[in-house]
Amino acid sequence: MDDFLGEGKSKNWYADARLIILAIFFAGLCLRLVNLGKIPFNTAEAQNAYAAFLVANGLSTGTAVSPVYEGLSAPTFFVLGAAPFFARFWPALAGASLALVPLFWRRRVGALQAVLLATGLAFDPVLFTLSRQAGGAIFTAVGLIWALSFFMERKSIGLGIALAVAWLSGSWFWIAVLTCGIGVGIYMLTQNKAAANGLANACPFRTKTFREAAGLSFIVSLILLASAFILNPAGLSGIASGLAGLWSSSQEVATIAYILPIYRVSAYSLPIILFAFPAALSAWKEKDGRGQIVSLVAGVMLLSIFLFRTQGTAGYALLHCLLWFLAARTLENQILLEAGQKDIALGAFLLGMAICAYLAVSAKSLVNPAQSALTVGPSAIAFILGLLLLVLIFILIMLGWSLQTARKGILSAVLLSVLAFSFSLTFLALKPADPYPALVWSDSSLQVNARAQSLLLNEIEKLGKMEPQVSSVVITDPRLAYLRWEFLEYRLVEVSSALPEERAPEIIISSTPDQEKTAESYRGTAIVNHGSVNWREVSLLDLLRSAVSKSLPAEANEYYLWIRQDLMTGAVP
Amino acid sequence: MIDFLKWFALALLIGWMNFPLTHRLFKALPSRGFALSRPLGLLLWGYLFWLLTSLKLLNNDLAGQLTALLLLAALNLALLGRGALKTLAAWVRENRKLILCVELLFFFAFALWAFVRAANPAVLGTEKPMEMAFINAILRSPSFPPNDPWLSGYAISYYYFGYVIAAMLIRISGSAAAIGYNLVAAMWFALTAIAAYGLLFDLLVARQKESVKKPAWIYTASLLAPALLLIVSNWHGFLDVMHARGLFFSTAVDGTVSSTFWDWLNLKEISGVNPDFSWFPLRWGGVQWWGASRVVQDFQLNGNALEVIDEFPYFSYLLSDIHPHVLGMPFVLAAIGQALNAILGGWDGKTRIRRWVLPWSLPEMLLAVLTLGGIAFLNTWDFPFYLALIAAALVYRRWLALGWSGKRIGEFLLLCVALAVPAVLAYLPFYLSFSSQAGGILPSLAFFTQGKYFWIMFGPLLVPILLGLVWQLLRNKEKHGLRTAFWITSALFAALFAFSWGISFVATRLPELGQLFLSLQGAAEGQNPLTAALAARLKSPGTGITLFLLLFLGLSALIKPKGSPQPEDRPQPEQPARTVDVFVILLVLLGGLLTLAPEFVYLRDQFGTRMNTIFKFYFQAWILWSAAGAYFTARFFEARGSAKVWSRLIPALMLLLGAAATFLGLYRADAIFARYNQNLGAFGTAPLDYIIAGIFGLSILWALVEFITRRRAGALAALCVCAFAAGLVYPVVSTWNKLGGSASLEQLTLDGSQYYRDYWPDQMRAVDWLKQQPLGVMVEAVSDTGGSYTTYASVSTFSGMPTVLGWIGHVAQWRGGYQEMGSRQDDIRVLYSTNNWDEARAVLDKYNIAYVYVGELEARTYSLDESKFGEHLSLGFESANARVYVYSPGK
Repeated sequence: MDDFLGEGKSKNWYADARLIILAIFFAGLCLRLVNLGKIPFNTAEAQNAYAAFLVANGLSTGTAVSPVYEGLSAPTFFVLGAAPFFARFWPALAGASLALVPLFWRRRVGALQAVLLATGLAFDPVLFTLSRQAGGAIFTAVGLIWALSFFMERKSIGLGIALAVAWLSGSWFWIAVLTCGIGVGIYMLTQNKAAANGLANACPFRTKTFREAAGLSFIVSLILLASAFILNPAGLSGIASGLAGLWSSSQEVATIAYILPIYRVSAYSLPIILFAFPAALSAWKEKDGRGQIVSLVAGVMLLSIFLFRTQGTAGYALLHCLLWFLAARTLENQILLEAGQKDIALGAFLLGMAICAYLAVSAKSLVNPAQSALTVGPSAIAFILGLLLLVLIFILIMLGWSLQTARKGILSAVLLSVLAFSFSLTFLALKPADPYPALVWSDSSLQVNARAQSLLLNEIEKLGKMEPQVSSVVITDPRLAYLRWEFLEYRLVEVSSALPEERAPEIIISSTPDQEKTAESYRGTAIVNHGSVNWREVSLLDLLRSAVSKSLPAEANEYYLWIRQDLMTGAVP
Repeated sequence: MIDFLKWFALALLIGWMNFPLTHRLFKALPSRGFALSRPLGLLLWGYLFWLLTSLKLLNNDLAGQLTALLLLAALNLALLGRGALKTLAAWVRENRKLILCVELLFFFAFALWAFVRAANPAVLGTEKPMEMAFINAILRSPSFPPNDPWLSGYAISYYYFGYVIAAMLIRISGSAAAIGYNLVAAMWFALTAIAAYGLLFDLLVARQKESVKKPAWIYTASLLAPALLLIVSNWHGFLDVMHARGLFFSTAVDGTVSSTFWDWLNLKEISGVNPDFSWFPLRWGGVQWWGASRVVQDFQLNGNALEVIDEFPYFSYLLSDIHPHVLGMPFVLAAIGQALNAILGGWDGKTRIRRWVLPWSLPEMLLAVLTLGGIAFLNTWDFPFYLALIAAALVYRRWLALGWSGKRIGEFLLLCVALAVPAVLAYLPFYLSFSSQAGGILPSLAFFTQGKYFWIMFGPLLVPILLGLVWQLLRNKEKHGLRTAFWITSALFAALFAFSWGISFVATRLPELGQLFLSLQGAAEGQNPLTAALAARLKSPGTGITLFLLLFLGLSALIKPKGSPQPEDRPQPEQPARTVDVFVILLVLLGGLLTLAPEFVYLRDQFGTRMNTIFKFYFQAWILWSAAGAYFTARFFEARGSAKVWSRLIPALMLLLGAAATFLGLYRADAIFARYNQNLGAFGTAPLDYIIAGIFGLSILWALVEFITRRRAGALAALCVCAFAAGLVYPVVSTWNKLGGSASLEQLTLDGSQYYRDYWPDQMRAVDWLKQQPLGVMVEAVSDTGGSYTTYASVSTFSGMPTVLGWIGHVAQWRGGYQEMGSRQDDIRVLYSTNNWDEARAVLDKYNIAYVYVGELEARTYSLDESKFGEHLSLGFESANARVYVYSPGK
């Protein structure tokens, strides 16, 4: 493992880097907590959160899709009560914790790279968005990255815990294991036997005490998390829920269109891939084992995202973690690049920034929705001219001064612009009103108007005729079962195609505009509450526009909220 | 096809995943338990999943199952330390031939039986719907114990472990339950085949000196075990064909045909019926294959015949009711394997529990406890037999080490308790929810198996066993304890007789019970049943004589005479060959005891007759004796020396003729079914007559030639083959009959519900709809006559929803009475017939009914008033002939 150990920088850097990383962590955490409960839930989030709510209330529920999410959220609901904020709290915390991983790596990669890595992991838009979803997607990456860190640091107990977190995150754990196995396997094949043996000999699992400690902490963590800290003993089934999810989906027809992962990668991952690529190339050139393995695994991971696209979004988080390990190196090289002429480099940087800003503006008009197709019009010409100008300036500086100066100036501008574009997506995810990030990163429908429904019900409660604690709700369509999350404080929420005989429920939710057969009369309201993109129908041009304009054509579905007439008019039932 | 391949892959995975465990624990077996790793893997996986789900630590879903599988994998991984992996790999390399044979046998057996099921897949008739209902109920239940599918609100009261394992395979493979049903039958056939193969392989190889390389013939000879267990059948089919062809009939002057032989034989469906003069037996109704399971008949003292079931494995698989005795087969063979491992020293070790030091290794004991407990959970009847076998094997080891004394008997009893108690405790959640229908024992008195039936039933197995025991006796230089064996056997018979007649004597003296007992025995007024029964037995002593001889010869081989050079009360030298022989004799003796016991006592159940006792005991005896019979036959072939030309030629000719006979017979059978009246004339007028005669003539010729050339073992082998050949008639003829001829081959499907989809499509569409709904209690029609073996309760059977009441007779059997059923039958009638909504609602609320099914059966069974459902309930599903209404009580 010696070749994996990097060389540290000066002592000052070491001390400062730790503080900087901590500050980045806190900033990332705070950002994640902003408007955490206000972003619309998608149906999968609502189901996950509701399942945790049931566990917290001692009610039976099937095996969790992401047992670690349920294992952490259920006790939280038990102690603090169920709410959208708490439903997303643990994923947010876990996602933010990724920024602390470089603290373990700073001796190996250097302080600067560690800081850059921390920044990337804290503010990467994919990691950011996924860590604000009530589900297990982020836990796979968090668990595996922490496990790797503890593994490198020979911390057996931490390794066990982190591995348990990853194991219980869902089916992506198994895909990740397979992916890493393939990546490492390819690496081993390209190495000579001595190098491969050296890698195996340095493995801490050869020590019995390490094995036992890691094993014990793994098993204990597994049991505690899967059982939601003993709130749900039957939750131990969750130990294999990831495998079960993978198993069952292998026998079903894929329901996610190919275009969706392509769009996600194009819109969100392309910038970071651009950063990571040079580092990957140089890793192979310099025979840097660590870089080689990371690049191989990232490549296989990219492929896995397409192959296992029905298994959720956790793969993207893993991919971005891996890409940031490489990208941080690229950025570090760029920052440490010595330019011969600093003034020229600065000038080139400023000019480059201006041109990039111009390109950003012209790219927006290039994909103007008013145009029915991409034509070579004035916008296109302006864009191409801008690009040519940038290239021309690069060449001029290179010829006039030096390649380093040109790289330092122009490339820095380009990299910074791309970084700004990427992080702008992060800040976009903070706005509840903007559904774009949630639409992109949801495999299920988005409840864009949940708030409208809550407001309506609040108004009726104010009339004094309906108290949630004594009221019942019947959802007649099983496909709307996720709406139970919206009625947590109600006495009874049933999913049944038949209405109760003895007592008419206060609220009925149906998918049809016809009133259900009841003795009482109800007043119905259509709630346009789903936002989902029909990825199979959206054209490539629209997708391109949306990537630039940050808006997707979402289809709305509606359901019907029926409230018992007497509750609205004051009449006696 | 895809389902077949998925199941094959699953079995492969489970077997290899569990092999580190069996390799470690079966160290005395030459095969290291390779053939048993599959059934044991399923048992351990099933146990882990069932136990953890019963303790509410797992959900009854795919994730729960995979968690249990991961635990099993982790256990095997833990056993695979670095050194163990190398040892395992080396063993695999050295035993490639065995591995290949086992895997090929598994594949072919699985494929063969899947093919047979695909030609006749319907889950229809006899008790297949019951088993399908169990499987679907287990699949739908959120936890264990699973819901009783035919008595809502209760848990299953039956030994349902086999159905749990079946449901697990169905769920993990993603197969539809109705397809899985048939694949279970096929897979169990294959598991049993390889387990039997492995057992005989171990017996034959263990005899050889360790340094000797395994002879090649053993790999082929081991096929005798699965053949004898699973394919060779009783002689009923042979006799059936002889009867149909008109043998032993004489024609009177007036043209009437009669036969003293067939009248004396008195076989149901055959005797008293005129022959067809065709090779293929014809039956009114077309069901020929059933008769072989009704060979044994009990007669009351007044001459009335009572039905007794005498199934054997081929019949059971052909019937394809995946009943507990079928589901238990691979696991009882695993128990036999563990007993063999024990007797060969595989359990030798030390286990310290507090101040006690047991001379056996703990892991092996644990495995035996789990296996025995699992057998009790699979088919409770089997538990004591294999418990006794394992205990006897262990006590024999003690005898070898310490010599014989009275202590060994005490140790035997102690071992039985020491294994039984933890076996029960390990499966305690089952016993807490189980109520047995058994209610004590009754003396058999008038009911005994006549010798002719006993030999028809067990002939193919008795021939090699008796020949083997005599041969062994004559071969061994050391004289055996004949006198002691004689006295022991006599004492046993006397004790059983005294016990049975003693109870009977007391029973006849009791006022009320006495009358019941006498009427059960069919005793006439003033008739002394004790003497009448004794007289009847003395008139037909065949079974008694056979069993006496068998037990006497077996014990003789075990017991050493007084004054022998190596006294029994001293430690004995370890001789593998002798140990193997002793083990086989134990199998023979256990089978003998199993068939002897019902001659004197039987278990009391709802039927009140020997039916179930004979069924269960004889089936296990077949398993034990088939292993022993295969062993002796293989020994005969081994002992005859190198094969001569004629000893290869004659069997080859027999095989050729057999194939020709099968082809011609079946071809004719098809033609016969097409043209019902086929009269071939007297014997000797059809080509097939000569072929059949040729087969038996050749076998006798073979035996004679072997005998004349002083190859006595070869002659014995030939006689055995002759006995087997007679037992091979049934599989050929009955399979063709059951499948319905070649027409069945045109539409092969494993879907057991296809028949229902073809004939009651609307009902099955309702079933499909119900499968998508949340679990709830449903209600459907109940037959006035109970509904057993009919299509009543089909909706519940295939949907997995518990119904208020299913087959009344079976529910009463499981519950030991009608108490739990209460007024359900009447309430259901009210629900469907009444036009008063309040009355109907009261029934719905009483049983917490969520789904009301209305279909063709409901309309036929009741004076149906459906309008109230339409008015007050939601219509969840509708089609031309079936509707499902949904009710929510709103409590």
